[in-house]
Amino acid sequence: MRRPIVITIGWRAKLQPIVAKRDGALDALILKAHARDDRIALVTLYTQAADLARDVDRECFFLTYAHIYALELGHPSRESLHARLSALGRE
Amino acid sequence: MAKDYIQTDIASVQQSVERANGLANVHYIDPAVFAEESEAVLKATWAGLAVGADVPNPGDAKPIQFLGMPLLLMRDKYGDLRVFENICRHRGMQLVHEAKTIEGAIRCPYHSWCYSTKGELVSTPHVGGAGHNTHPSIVKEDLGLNEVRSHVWRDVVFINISGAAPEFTEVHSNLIARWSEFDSPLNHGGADSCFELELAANYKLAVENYCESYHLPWVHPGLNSYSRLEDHYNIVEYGKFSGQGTLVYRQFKAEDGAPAFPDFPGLSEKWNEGAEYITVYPNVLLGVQRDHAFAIVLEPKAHDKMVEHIHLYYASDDTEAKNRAMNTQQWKEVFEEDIFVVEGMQSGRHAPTFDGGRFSPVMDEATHCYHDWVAGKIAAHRG
Repeated sequence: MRRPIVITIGWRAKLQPIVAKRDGALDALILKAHARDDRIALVTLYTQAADLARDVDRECFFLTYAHIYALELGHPSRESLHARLSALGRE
Repeated sequence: MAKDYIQTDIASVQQSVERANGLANVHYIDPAVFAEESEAVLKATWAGLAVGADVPNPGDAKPIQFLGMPLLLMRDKYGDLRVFENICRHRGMQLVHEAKTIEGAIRCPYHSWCYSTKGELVSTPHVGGAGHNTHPSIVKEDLGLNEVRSHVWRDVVFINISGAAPEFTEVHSNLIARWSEFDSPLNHGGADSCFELELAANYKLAVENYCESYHLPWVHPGLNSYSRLEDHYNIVEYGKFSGQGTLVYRQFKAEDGAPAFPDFPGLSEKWNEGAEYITVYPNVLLGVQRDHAFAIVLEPKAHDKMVEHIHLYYASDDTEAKNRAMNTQQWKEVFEEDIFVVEGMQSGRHAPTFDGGRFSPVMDEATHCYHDWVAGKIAAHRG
């Protein structure tokens, strides 16, 4: 059964979750990566979430997370993620 | 215009050493006067904050509280050292909470604004709405971390909070020239070559004690066997710095009796048995000797509380850990012997009729020089 990816933004989360109806397994992986503060995994997982997004706003939302964690880590993908956001007019 | 502080008597301090009194008690026991001094003495001049060895590697970051201000000691990816206010330019959140190495960027834990190790604002996620990471009103070039003016000399990181002091190299040109023979690279001995001492005393009392050799035979009797009182000389540059020198320094010896550490290169004969111990006003105590040097940064925690951060340096990065540890222990014993004196003077400052005391014109001129300098900074601040 497919479950939505739910990414929460503060107190609004319960009222207006930003939902991407994609792979529930990915949702769970993201939550687990957050729980263990695994930022390397978060770069990958949020990039995957962006790849699966059904519209550009959701794509950029997830890309932003991937980019920020990549930036913090000095991750090799930080430049490509930045370029992708820039191409979409979000950086 | 005079500031709204207690107007302590500093005129009696700014007399000749034969007639002067020391600073009044309130300069040691009154938080309001400490607040004035913090502005006049610690923020308006070049105060010691830390040492470069605190952040030895590119990307190393260390949060430091200085006079209640959250600061960040940061070595960027190219090795350059800077001091920033440790807050995000967005909502003022403290950025770095513990010493660590920044792998990529400094990410604010609140809304994840990111800064480079040079302090540039590099990303503002969702600032224009979800997934929109720019906004015309948020100009990254204008919102880098606030940098605190800094200068590194002999690995000590000096900061000028006010931003208005003359250049460090101008203020301390005489001292820099005096010790120019020691300009060779300093190698911090590492974890076995640094320690901290917490003292229940005003930081100025540690300076006052460090400046003079008068107390050596009484407080450090172990030095009497070779470093007698008459083997020392005063170093006094009014308005600049003061300290003491010795004519009978002996190299630190290893167990086999041979010198344990190599000399700093290029020293003249003067330093074969010479060594000097000088305070870089207001709060850094330095020592130079042929085979090692040290720096003590006095961290003023409150009017009656300080931490001494002690660091030992060598001419080579290839010295034996055992010898370094022995040397550190030897110095630790000496500096610990001074604690009861410094804390005792702090207690003594609660005696209501004490007038700041008098100075021996022969033995205490270096200490008077420091009092005179502090008084001068306060006078300038009061205007």
